[in-house]
Amino acid sequence: MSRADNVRMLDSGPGASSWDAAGSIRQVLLPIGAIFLLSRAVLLLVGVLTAAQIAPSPEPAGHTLLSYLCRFDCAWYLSVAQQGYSTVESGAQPGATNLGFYPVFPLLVRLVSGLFNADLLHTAIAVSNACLYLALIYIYRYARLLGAEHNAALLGAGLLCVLPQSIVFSAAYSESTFLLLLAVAMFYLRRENYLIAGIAAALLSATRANGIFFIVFAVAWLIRSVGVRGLLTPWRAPEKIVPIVLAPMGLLVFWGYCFATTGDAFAGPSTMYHGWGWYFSPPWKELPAMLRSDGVAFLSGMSSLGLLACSLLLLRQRCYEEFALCAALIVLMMSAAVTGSLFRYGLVLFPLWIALARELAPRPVLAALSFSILALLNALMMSAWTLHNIIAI
Amino acid sequence: MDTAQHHRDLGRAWQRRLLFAALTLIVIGYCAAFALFVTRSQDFLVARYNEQALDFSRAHIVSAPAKLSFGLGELDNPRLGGGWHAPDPGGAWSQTVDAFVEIVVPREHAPLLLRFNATTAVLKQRPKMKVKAFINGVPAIRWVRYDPDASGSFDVRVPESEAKAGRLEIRLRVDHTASPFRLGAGTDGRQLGVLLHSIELLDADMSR
Repeated sequence: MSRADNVRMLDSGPGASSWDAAGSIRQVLLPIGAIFLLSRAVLLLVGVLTAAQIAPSPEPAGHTLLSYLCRFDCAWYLSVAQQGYSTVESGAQPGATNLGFYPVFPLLVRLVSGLFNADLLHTAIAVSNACLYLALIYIYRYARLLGAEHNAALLGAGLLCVLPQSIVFSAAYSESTFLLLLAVAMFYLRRENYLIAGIAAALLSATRANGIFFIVFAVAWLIRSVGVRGLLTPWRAPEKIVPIVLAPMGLLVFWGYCFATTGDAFAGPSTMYHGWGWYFSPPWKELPAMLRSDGVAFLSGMSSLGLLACSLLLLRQRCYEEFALCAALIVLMMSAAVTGSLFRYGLVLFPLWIALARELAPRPVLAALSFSILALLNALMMSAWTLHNIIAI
Repeated sequence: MDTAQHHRDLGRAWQRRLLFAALTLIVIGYCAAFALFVTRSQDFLVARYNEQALDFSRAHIVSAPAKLSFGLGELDNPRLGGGWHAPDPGGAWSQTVDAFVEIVVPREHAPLLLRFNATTAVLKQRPKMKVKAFINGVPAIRWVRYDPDASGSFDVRVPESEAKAGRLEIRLRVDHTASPFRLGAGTDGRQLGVLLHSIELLDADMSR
């Protein structure tokens, strides 16, 4: 069996019938696993070195290696997993409550915490990393579905591991769960398995509110596959709109829960506004403000412009649906009046990284250079994360 | 004609119709739920702050003449309900379009006049701001300020029925909030509406 045949096992094609387990493990699962483990180990090492050499004060007693994976929002997610939702405000941050954090990730943590003797931090880290590994596999498969070569698809998965601030994929954060569900929803929609795509999309919108933007992708895909006329006559092939209809369900169920418990369906945005100062501001106002400022806000503005520029690669590769999704999410990022966290919001836009990998894969020197620069920036961000620096929030 | 094929096609057509009907029902459910959420939801933090302000005001009843001052370290700050930033020196900025103040006066109080001393967030880039005041939900006055005359005072005569009820829930509504930073007019990134310095309680009959 050829190498190409071996890698087909995790391949896209609806017609891919044979499953060569040994080949798939050797050609795909192992390389992805190796990138995943190596990148996590290096990041942890950077964290340890930073704490040992730069940190102004030593880590508190009882601190373990895994505590480097709990920074910033980690405590909020763990509080949801531990006590459920509460309207109690943080003493240090008036208006901030755990209602600002969507439920799928903490629910998953709570569900499997029994496996870790109810240790929520270890469970959360395990869930995050399991989701990341699965997401990388789906991203590989998705890249193959888009026609990427094996090496380009692997490079796409690898890039995700070295992107600046990719530590959040291994931390007690919801990013890796989001990444996995987005990849699964998009993959199965392209494979025309509408029910799985719809269920994943519904979970996605209950993982982070911006998961609702999957609809942009699904509508663009529908227009490309059946035309605008098909979109306007959904009764002819209703199965194709199942993912679109199911996608908002997670978000609406969470809103319903908030409404029933607090009388405020939009308790999430309310607490984000009062506690974190987050609100929607049109991108044509917000982006110039970011670029006028200095520090993190300026870097956030520049990085969102960089992401937008990167998304043009998707147009070049005729991935119009992926472009529509990424452009919509980038515009949303430019509309957030709080500029922190923008780096990690960009990480989950995996079609961008696949597009970049497809451009880089035929140019090994450029690929190695890009990989190294990103890894270096990632190390810097890991240091900032370890030191609780605001840039890594 | 292949009868079995015909039956299969018919079955598929029914399945399609059934699926479409189910999806339509789900969408209708979304719309109904969303309409309910939008019309019935109340910002839970604003509701809580209003409640806390009311509790404080009930415990600290005031009668005219009195002056309630707001700002960093002022004793009347707890009368501010939802919709305010943490007080600054000299006043408290409203954070949202609606901001609330709770005042409790003795029942059967004489007709009251409230004098608001305030500054609006008018900037060169947005030189006009409209402020409406409501007392217990009843529109009381409309106040408009233009750049550069951002500060001033306005009087609100409290309807007798409201003054007699004892509780005055004052809502200050601005037509927009502005962020000086986002408008390129300063470094303050907060959304600002009206800066409330003080509210004077006057006897309406005496002040005629």
